[in-house]
Amino acid sequence: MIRILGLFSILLLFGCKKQTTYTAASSVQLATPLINSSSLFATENNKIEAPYLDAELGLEVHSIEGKKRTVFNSKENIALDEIGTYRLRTVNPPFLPSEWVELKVLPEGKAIESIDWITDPKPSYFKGGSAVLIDGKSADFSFHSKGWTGANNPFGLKVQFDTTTRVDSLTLGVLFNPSAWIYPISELQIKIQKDRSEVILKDIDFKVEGNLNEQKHVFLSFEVGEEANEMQLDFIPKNLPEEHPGAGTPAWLFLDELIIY
Amino acid sequence: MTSRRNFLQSGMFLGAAALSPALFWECAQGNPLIVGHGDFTYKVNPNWGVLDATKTPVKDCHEMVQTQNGDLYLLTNHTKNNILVYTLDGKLKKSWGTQFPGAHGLTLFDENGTEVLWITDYERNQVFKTTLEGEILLTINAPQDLEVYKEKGNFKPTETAIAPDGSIYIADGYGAQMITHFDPQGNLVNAFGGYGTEKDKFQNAHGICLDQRFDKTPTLLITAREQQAVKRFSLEGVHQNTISFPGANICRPVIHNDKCYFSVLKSTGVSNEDSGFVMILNEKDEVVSCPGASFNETDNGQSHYHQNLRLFQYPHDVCIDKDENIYVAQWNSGNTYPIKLERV
Repeated sequence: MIRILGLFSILLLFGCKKQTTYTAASSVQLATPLINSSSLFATENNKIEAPYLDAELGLEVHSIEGKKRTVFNSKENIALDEIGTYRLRTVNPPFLPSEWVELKVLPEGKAIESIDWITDPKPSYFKGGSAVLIDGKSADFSFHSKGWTGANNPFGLKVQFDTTTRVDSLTLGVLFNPSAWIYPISELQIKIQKDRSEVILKDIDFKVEGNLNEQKHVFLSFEVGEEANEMQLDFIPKNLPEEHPGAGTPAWLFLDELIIY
Repeated sequence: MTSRRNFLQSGMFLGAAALSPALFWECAQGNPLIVGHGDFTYKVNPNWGVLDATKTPVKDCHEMVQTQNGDLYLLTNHTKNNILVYTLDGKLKKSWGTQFPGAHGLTLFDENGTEVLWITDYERNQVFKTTLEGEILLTINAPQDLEVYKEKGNFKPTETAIAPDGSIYIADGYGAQMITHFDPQGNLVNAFGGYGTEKDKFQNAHGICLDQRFDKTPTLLITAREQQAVKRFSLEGVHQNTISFPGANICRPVIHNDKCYFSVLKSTGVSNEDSGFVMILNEKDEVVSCPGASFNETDNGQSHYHQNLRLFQYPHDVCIDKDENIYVAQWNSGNTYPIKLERV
């Protein structure tokens, strides 16, 4: 009996080795889910949105304090009501968990009366109009979605306030997707108008760093420190950088949100 | 009294007993993953066809076909060896081709009992007919009689389909999005399509094939990859219908028996870029299996297709052998060789 069990163990070992021709479930990672929040801001009504999450997947949510909670029904509401970064991933053993998705929750900004593109926008990437830039919502990763506005030529944005407003800083939501030639590398000129006088405040060069194979949603912040009735932002997208296969051709700049603090 | 021998035997037994659950667990973990749906399920064999990259390297693996004798021809844009010829067991039989830097489309055609290959090269702006040994038999250049191709650089052909009479349809998926039709000698006969969102136009007319199933009048199936759709045209270039696959950027249609197979370069329902998979349609153009993916209904009642497992990177073509195994050639996957899906 003992010999039979010993032999069985050896056979089992060989049996397991034989399986290595094929990919095992335990070596395969779940796809990274497409997850968004219903708002960029910390409110009770800010919920997780995951329209394509498969029913068999668990969604692991790590709160700002690092508390873990796993839900198995993506329709279950989890309020994203704290300022900071939530981390989420899908789980379904024995598969490897998906990569983390980060959802940033920001403080609400100051009121903007209107926002307009000054230059003619590219119709294909202006489906939601300039209003998407102040709708308080992140766009999903697809640059085709109407939450994004994009250009690879110089363009301007005019921001108007209903009363004179103290602008400490501005935050821009941008897309980094180098495989689609979308690379936030640009010159930005900030002009302020107050009491009918226009002042060129800043001329900034910005570039988002990252791996050419990744895509991410990035928030960039710029100090202003002025009062304004109106503000103009002129963007001059630069050429794709040397490390990119399209180096020398214009980079696309895609924006989904502008917040004034 | 327990002898030393008995103790060792007990130890082996205990060891086996203690190890067995773990071994069982490992073995269960090591069980082959089965992907796909319904009657179309597969084990994934990533080791098939892996070669010595220092001798026979690949760059993008763009397309594959199987010849009558069972050999599998892989087209890559690596100019050390544009064509790799595999035996069914994944061994290299031969290689050839150093002159196709933009090698992209590979079509097999039986020309009165002699098999020939059609290769598109979007960098050379040309299409070539070759023997199975690599001898060039015919070259088709940009049809500069057409206004859109006055500048030959606008002709970036991605795929061909060959009609029973030997005439050639060329899809210009990386160029002006035209479908051009040439007679067997390479003279322009007709042109249709072009860039646009209208039903008879394309955004990325990436793949084309001839559909001769079910004794119906042959038609052309042409993918509009960025529109996540395949469009059916008559051989004269009249649009008949469009079949949409929300979420799935399909490459070229591949017909095998009564089914239509697609590689899906990437999908838009997940957030990783390398989000491709494989898709199989039945004779009613309904999706019956998506190895590496799942589908769910959206609020508007349409199915949405998206990768669920990161098995593939950017699948660019599928080749189905006589045993209905699938070989998946991938673009931009880190110079990897095709993945074999073995039918269960």
